[in-house]
Amino acid sequence: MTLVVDNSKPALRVRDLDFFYGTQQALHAVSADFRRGEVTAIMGPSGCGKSTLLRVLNRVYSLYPGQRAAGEVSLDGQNILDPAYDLNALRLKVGMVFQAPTPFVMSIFDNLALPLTHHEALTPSELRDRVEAALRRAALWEEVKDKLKHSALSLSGGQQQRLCIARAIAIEPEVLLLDEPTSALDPIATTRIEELIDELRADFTVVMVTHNLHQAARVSQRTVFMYRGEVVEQGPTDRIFTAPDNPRTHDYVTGRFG
Amino acid sequence: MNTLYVRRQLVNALVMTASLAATAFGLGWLLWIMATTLIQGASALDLKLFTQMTPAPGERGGLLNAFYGSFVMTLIALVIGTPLGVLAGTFLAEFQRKTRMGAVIRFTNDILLSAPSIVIGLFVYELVVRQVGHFSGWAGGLALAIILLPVVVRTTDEMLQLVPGGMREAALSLGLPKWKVSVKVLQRAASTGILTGVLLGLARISGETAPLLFTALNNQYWSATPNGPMANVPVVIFQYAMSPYDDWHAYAWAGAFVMAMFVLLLAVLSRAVLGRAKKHRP
Repeated sequence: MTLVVDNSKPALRVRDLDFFYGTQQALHAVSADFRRGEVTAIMGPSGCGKSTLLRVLNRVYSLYPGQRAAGEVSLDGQNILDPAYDLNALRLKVGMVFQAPTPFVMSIFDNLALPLTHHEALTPSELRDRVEAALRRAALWEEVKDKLKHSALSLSGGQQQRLCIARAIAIEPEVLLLDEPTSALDPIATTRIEELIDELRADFTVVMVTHNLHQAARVSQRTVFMYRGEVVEQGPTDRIFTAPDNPRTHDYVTGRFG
Repeated sequence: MNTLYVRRQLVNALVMTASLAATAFGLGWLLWIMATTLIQGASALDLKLFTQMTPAPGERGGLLNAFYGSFVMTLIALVIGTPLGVLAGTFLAEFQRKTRMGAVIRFTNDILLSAPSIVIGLFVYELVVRQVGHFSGWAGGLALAIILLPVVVRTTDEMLQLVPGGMREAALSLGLPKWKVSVKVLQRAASTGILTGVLLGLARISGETAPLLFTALNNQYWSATPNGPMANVPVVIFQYAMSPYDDWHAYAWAGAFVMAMFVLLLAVLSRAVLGRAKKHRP
């Protein structure tokens, strides 16, 4: 299914992006491309701005007064930083999964039904099908199919995170943002999520922030390396890890700093 | 070295004793109150207390009309105060979190929270009783609602602020509008905390006497609707305790015992609810 996707044009294009927390500038003229059918990893040491960049892509930062972005982020040819761009429409296209699982305090079924019924008019049977489909895609269906009415909080951490992924993809966004989605999980749960991310790239443009070098190497096709609020280097993950152009990238991927 | 150790042991024993004594002093009053009301009210404490009307001096009876009146007026207060309080608290926590307006509203709410209840009684007297021309259960319920309101506003505000920011961000990231995020996701996450606030507010208003003196007054007889003066436990206790009749005194003690037990149970219940909520928090 991915093979027919036109990879030459990026799904998300970031150009000259500056970002401010109040008066403090966290991103300096960042430019990056995120392509369909690929997982792009954003990596770098703590405080390099990788999470900040991710939080610009669905403008979740705008919840906080004092945080401000300037520059251009285009999605389907439109600049999402334009104040006139509708936030809810943007987030319908750009879903996000956070570091710590964020299940809502309601049943497993309702966690998915809430966004689904908000965005689409579905009959009860259509709703059930969509919930099942999303849970299957998130590789969670077999574990929860008999307890859809149970509280989402009764799930384990790894299951909760897959539920959050299911919830994000249920409304079929174009882009899926993952903010260190496995850093709160144990190695087995991490493996499952990584396998899942690899499958999801067929249908979504996946952007993943990770501080874990090995994870970036395992999961992504492209890598953006950031340092101190700037993009140092970006390109195919193989090349970034084996023959980086920039000496700083080389130092980072060989473990000399970060 | 050894003397230092002995000294520490001694100080420890002293502080422990003082702490225990302070605890016993505090709890002692509660036990004393419960014991006194129970013993003094024993002669009136039976099933008839809950099934018969307030008696004339020298007759047997119960406090049914007073319990019913208190129940009805508390219910009116809950129905008015809870939705308003939850909405206002949500407005504060979700829409005015760090704004100047939010700070002003919180400050005003805190003043209302600590306003003397007799002032609120007088206010409702002017607002309702004088306009309508007579005392009523509605006026009593309204006075209690005004006392309950700031408690609910404050707990709702605080409990919503305790909901992890990640849940708010996650809900917004699904393209849900802010009101839906507040109502469907955040209020639900904070619901046990909000319920605790309502229960504590309920405990507070169920013992209020002053606001009812000016609004519901009292009623020696059964009143099914809150359209006229209504009997209620605190004012009946006041009236019977001030009376020269020994059997009325016993009813006052019994009423006081039931009220104290009710408030104690509400407090325990709200603790239990909150304890359960903490265990379930993600």
